[in-house]
Amino acid sequence: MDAVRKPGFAEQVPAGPLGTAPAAPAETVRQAPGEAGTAARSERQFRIYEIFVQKDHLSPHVWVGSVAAGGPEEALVLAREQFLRRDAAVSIWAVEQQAIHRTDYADRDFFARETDKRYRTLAGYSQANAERWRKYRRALLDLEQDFVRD
Amino acid sequence: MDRASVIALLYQLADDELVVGHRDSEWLGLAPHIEEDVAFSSIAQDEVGHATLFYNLLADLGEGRADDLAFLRPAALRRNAVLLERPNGPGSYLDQPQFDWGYTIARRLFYDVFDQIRLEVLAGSSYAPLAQAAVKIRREERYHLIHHTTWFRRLATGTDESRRRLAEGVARAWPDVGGLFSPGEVEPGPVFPATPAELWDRWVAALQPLFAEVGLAWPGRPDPEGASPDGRRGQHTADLAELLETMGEVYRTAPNAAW
Repeated sequence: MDAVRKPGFAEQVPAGPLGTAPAAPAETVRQAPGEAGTAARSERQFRIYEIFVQKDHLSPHVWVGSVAAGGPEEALVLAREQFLRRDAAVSIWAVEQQAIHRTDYADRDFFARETDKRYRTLAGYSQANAERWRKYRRALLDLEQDFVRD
Repeated sequence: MDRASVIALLYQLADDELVVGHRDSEWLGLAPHIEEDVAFSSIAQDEVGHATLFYNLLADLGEGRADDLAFLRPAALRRNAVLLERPNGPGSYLDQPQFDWGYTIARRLFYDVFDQIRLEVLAGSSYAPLAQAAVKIRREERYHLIHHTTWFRRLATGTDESRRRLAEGVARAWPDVGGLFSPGEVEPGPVFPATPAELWDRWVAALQPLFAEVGLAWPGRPDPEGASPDGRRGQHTADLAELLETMGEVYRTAPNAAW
């Protein structure tokens, strides 16, 4: 079943010097009955909603896939059955795909990491600082050395 | 405890859920779009699960094995409302199905609202196992009601075609609506603390505002002398016999097999 559509697929817009252009506007909202219609009104008008599920109150919402629906209430109702047939959850978010802004996969420079950034990591803490702190704490609590004078 | 009323009531509940669950399951692969197909099939499975609960309560009361009650009883012994045994539309899955989504949604919504009210009444039943089952089932049925109400609104406020087909479905389902409320062999009492008139009033109070909201004409009270047979007294249509034939076909080949 092709219910999973990742955001960004097949919607690439060429990147200009300032970045990606915004995605095409959403399809029009369904009109009230009785309004003068065009041929388009007899076609189904679906939007794609990206679905995020929170499995329990201590977990974050996680992207699980997407559904095609006519509106947000329907998206939530359908998402319950598409993604929660087997798993329990406490919350569902439905976000219109058009409301999601994305980077361009072709724009590699956006994610460039050319220089050494080991200063951002925690590597080396356990060898240097942690050892020193352990030594200081041991020294603080050494009764024999500091308090027993005989 | 009025044992006869409890048993009659349980048969009504169990047969209602089983028959509507089977009719819903016939939409598998034929629903308007794929996510709706999954959701609708899920709901059908839920209904059959509820029927299982009720048939098990009947088995506990000594009526026989739950599977036998579900699959082997003939149409004359069934106590479901006739609204639920009507076909979804012309044809069958194997032979040019032309099922009617507007009718299905109308029928499902009318039944779901009725069932919600009936389960609320049963939560106060004097027969404890039934009251407990009703509380559990009502929580699941709430999703069904949300689902079908959403569809009802979407069809009614969508395109001209959807609105027309929903209105036709409502009109076709309406003569059978009265049959939902027939008491059958159940006496109002501590086991079922409500009268058919009270159920009807609550049903109308729930649905009339929805009709007004979406601008559909309220069809008014169904003709009590209407032609629809009273399923709760065992009067059914040929459609039910056909449904039971299909539904029980596999079970009947070996009723004592372990599945």
